[in-house]
Amino acid sequence: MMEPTGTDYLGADSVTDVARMLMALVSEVWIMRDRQIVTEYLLETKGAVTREELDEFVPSGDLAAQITAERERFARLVAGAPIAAVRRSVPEILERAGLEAPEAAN
Amino acid sequence: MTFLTNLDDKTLKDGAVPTFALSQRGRAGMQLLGAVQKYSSGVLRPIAAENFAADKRGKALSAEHEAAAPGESARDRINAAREVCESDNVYRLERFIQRWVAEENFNRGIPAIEERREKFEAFNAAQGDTELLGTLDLSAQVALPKYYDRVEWHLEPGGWDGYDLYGALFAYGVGPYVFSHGGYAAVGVGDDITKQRANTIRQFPKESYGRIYEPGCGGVSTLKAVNSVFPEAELHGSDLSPLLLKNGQKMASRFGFPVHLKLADAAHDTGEADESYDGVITYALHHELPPKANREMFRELFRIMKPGADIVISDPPPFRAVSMFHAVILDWDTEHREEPFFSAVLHDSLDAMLEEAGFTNVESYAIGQDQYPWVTRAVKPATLAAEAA
Ligand SMILES: C[S@@+](CC[C@H](N)C(=O)[O-])C[C@H]1O[C@@H](n2cnc3c(N)ncnc32)[C@H](O)[C@@H]1O
Repeated sequence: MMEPTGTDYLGADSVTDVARMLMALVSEVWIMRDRQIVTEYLLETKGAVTREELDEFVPSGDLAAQITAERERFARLVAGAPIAAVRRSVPEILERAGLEAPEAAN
Repeated sequence: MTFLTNLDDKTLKDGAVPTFALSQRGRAGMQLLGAVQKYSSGVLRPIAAENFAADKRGKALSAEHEAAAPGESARDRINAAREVCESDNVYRLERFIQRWVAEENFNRGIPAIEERREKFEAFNAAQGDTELLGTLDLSAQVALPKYYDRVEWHLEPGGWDGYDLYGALFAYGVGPYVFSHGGYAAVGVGDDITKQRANTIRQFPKESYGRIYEPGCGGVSTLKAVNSVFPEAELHGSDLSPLLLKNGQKMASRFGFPVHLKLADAAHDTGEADESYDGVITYALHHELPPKANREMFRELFRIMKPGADIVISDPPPFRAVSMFHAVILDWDTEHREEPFFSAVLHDSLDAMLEEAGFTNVESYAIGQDQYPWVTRAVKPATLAAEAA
C-alpha cells in the first residue's frame, strides 16, 4: 500500500465544497465550449468574427438546437459520472454519449 | 418560485422594443445550470426514487404513508424516510445539484445581469416610451411582517428587494434558462410554469369575470395568465415588494394589458372595499406565509369578495397528497432553499382554512404530474341562507 502523503488538508466534511469547486470549473469549461461552437459557426457563415460579435450573439434555430443537444450531453457526462460507474451496459454507455445503440449492440 | 419563463415575443404588443439578452458568457453559464438541473431532476431523481422503493424500510414507510388518515401528522414519517433517502448516494448527489443550482442562480446570475447593466438600462429607457397602463399605488404605510422581513427567499441575497436588477435577472436569465425546464421545488421536470398558470386560471368555474384580485401578485406573471383566459376582467393585485410591483406594471404595459397594483400586506389589510371582487386568484403564495397569516389572509379575502364570488388557489400539494419519496423532496426546500414555512403549510390544510373563513364548496385536486399544480377552490356563499344550508 502507498504511504499516506501527509496531512489531510481538506477532510471528509469538505467533499461538498470540492464538488462546488468542480462544478465551478465545469461551468467555465462549458462557457468556453459554447463560445467555440459559436465561433466556428460565425467563421463558417461569415468568414470572420470580432470579440464583440461573439459576446452579443444569441443562437437561434438549428444552431440553438445543436448547442442544446451538446450541452445536455455535457451535463449528462459530468453529473452522470457516478451513474456511469454502475450502469455500464453498451446501450447505456452509448445513450450517455448521445448515440443510438445499433441493433447489434443490444 | 414563480416567474416568467419565456418572454414569448409573439405576445408582445405591436411596436414593443425587442427583448434584451445576456452576453455569450452569461447566457452559456445560466444555460448550463438549466441543463444540469434538468439532468438531476429528470434522471438522477427517478433513480433515487427507485432505490427508495426497493429499500425495505422505504417500502414500509410508503405503505404507512398511503394508509394514513388524511390530516394525520406526517412529520416523523418524513424524517424517517429522509434517513432512508440519505443512505443513497444518488439521492445525495441529486440534492447537492439542486442546492448548487439554487446558489448559482444568484452567484452566477447577478454578475451576468450586472455586466449588462448599461444595455439593460438603455433597453428599459426605450421601453419608457411604452405608455404605462393601469395604476400603481405605493402610498400605503405598510409594516413588513416579521415572517417576511430579512428572509432571503430561495437563497436570493437580500430578499425580493435585495438587488435592483432582480426583475431583469429572472426575466432574462433564471426564468428562460433555468426555471423553464421545471424540476425544482414542486414543479415537475419538463413542466412549463407559464402553461401551468394558464391551466390553473381555467379552474375558475364561470365563463367570465368582472373584477379579479390577486394578493401577492409579484411581477404579474399570473395576472398575465388571467388576462389571457379572461381578457374582459379588470385586474387588481397587491404585494409587499415595491420593486416587484413596479416591474409588474412595466411588464403588463409591455404586453398591452392594464393592471391596478397596490402595495399592501394582504394578510392584514388589502385596502380594498367590502364585497368588491368577483374572483380571487392566489398563486405560489401560501407556502411563503406562516399558517396563522394564511388564516388572516383568507378572512380578509372573504371580506372583499362579493357573495357568490370564486377563489382559486395554486400552491404546492400537501404532504398527504404526494408519495412518501416526493414528500421528502418537498420537505427539503424548507431547510435548503430558504422556504421557512414550506413544510408547516404542507402539513396544514388550506381546505380547512378556507372553511374556517366561511367559504363553501371547498375542493382540492391536482392538474399535473407529481400532484402539481395542486388546485384548491371554493366559493363565498351567495346568500346567508346558502351559508346556513
Ligand atoms: C413566490 S411569489 C409569487 C408571485 C406571483 N403570485 C406569481 O405567480 O408570480 C410570492 C409573492 O408573495 C408576496 N407576499 C408574501 N407575503 C405577502 C403578504 N402578506 N401580502 C402581500 N404579498 C405578499 C411576495 O412578496 C412575493 O412577491
